[in-house]
Amino acid sequence: MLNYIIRKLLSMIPMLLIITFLIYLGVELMPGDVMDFLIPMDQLAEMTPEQVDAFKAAKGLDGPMIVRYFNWLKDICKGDLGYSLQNNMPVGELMMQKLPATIELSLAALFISTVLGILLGVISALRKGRLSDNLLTIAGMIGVAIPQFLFGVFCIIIFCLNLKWFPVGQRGTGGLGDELHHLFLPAFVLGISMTAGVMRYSRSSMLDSMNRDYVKTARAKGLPEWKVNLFHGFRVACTPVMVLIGFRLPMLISGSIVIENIFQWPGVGRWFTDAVKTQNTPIIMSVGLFMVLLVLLSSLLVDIFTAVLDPRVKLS
Amino acid sequence: MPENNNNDVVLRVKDLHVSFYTNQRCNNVLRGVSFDIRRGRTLCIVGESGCGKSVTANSILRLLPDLSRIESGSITYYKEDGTEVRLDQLEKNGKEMRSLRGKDIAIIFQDPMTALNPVYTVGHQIREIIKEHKPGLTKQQLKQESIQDLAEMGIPAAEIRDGEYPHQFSGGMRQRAMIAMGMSCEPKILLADEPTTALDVTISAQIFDLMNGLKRDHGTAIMMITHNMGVVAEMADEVAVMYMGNIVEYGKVEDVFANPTHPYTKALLRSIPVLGKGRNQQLEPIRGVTPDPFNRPKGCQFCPRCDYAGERCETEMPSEEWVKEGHYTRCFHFREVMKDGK
Repeated sequence: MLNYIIRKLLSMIPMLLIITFLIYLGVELMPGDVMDFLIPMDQLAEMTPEQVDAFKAAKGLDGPMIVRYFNWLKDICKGDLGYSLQNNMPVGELMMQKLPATIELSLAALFISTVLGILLGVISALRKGRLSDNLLTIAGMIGVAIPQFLFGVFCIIIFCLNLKWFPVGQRGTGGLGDELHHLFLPAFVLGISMTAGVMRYSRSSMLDSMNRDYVKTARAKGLPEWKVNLFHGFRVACTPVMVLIGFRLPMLISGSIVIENIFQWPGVGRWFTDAVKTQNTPIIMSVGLFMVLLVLLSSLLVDIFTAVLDPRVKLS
Repeated sequence: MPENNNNDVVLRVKDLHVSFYTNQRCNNVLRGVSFDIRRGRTLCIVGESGCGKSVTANSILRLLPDLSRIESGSITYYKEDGTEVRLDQLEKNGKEMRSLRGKDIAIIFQDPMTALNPVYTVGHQIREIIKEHKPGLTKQQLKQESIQDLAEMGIPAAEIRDGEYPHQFSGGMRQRAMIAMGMSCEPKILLADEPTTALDVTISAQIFDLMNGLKRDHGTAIMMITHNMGVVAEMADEVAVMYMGNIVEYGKVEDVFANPTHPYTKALLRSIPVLGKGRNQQLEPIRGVTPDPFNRPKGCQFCPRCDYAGERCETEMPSEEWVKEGHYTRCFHFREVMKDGK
């Protein structure tokens, strides 16, 4: 197991290099000049080419792209994420400020989608063909199909503006109660859009499991239905569902980009979109690196999860 | 059915009708099935695929799929204390039915590869049934019991095997584990639904030895489903031949094999290759094909494939006729069939 994990971690290094390089290339290929965002138009027009070059050199924006990429890489290896081009703040420090908000939002959404998705999926499977199953299936279809931003805006209009149940956006600051009050709606919107997928997957997985022979064996043992459903039907069905949820971990962060913008959530996502708009390379690269790491790590996590849940799977 | 209710009868199925409902169509899977299961004896139910053998076994334990119904007839279980339980009237997954499942009546399924849950150890799955029916045992006692059950079924190194998962067992070992599970609460009746179909011949023989041992030592009544006449000859005390949802012939195995009184039984016996007869022996397959269950013949179900069929057979289903005590047949022409011999 340990051996496997180490090998898997090592195999991530080349992938990290390739992907970060591609992101760097992407930023480089973006239309527009980063100088336009750093210095106001009228000032820029008055600067001589020498002054512009000197400014670029100070910010580390001169030289060919390859050289700059390797400089960035060198700094990363030293643990230095660089400085924001806009305000010269260290990116690492900024990240530490923004990350908790995003993680809080993502974990809440993950919790909602996992609990709700599995619960509704299993209920739907056990009541297959009945009214409740059909209703849940329809709701699931809508949930899969509706775009997050649309759903988010609807929720703001209904629950914040009309009903005034929740504050419009921002993160709570006045104690736990206030924080939860602010957290609920964005987490709910982000969670619901994932719930639909988890629910539909749990349903089919549970249906598959309930049709297996071992479920019949369990009934033939005289076990009560809830034990048959939970310990035999669901226990086997939960492995693929856990895999799905594991692979969606990174999606929570990327999904939160949209939600954070809608709900003005002071997290990594909004910060990242602002950085992209102003071509703030150090921030884009740091967040990009973080997301890539998250994707790779969650695939490792899924492997470990599967091995723990299913004794037939051996990590080697 | 023999009307004398001697104490040997542990389960009596009488005129059982079961239907499956699929795609707005109704399939009358069982169309009046009657037989007895007796203490310390083996009843073999033999017949081709889809004739209703497994449905019969599953109806007894009420393990039929959701879209099915016992339409009429009775399944009576005679408890040791003399009380009678009408299994067909119990609630499907109700408390009473569950208290009988595994404890009084156990079942072994055809494919041991899929009948065990892959994510639990074999020992855990055996303990699960013991825990359900003998509450209050300590963990150690439970573990001891499961190991002992495995050892009794001839599984070597049972202490180690107890903690292993089904995928670490071979097919034969899994079926032994299934039997160990079935026998763990010492049921009065063991239903075996083609227990060796998925196993090779030598392993099958070992499994049969085990089952015969149970019958001898514990007096377990066994109902075994098979489509193999050789197995019937070896294992059965009584045999019931099924065709399209009816038992067409029922009797002691000696009687049925020596004097088949139904054309289908006769045809079945004739279609088995005999070892040692050489490679030139002529097998006689039964002509025609099994009818579509949604488009059945009006009268006797075997009529379109039968050499003895007459006009009456086309319109009327023969009822159960007694050939001699404990041997009945469903054929209008059974005297002719008997006269013609094997």
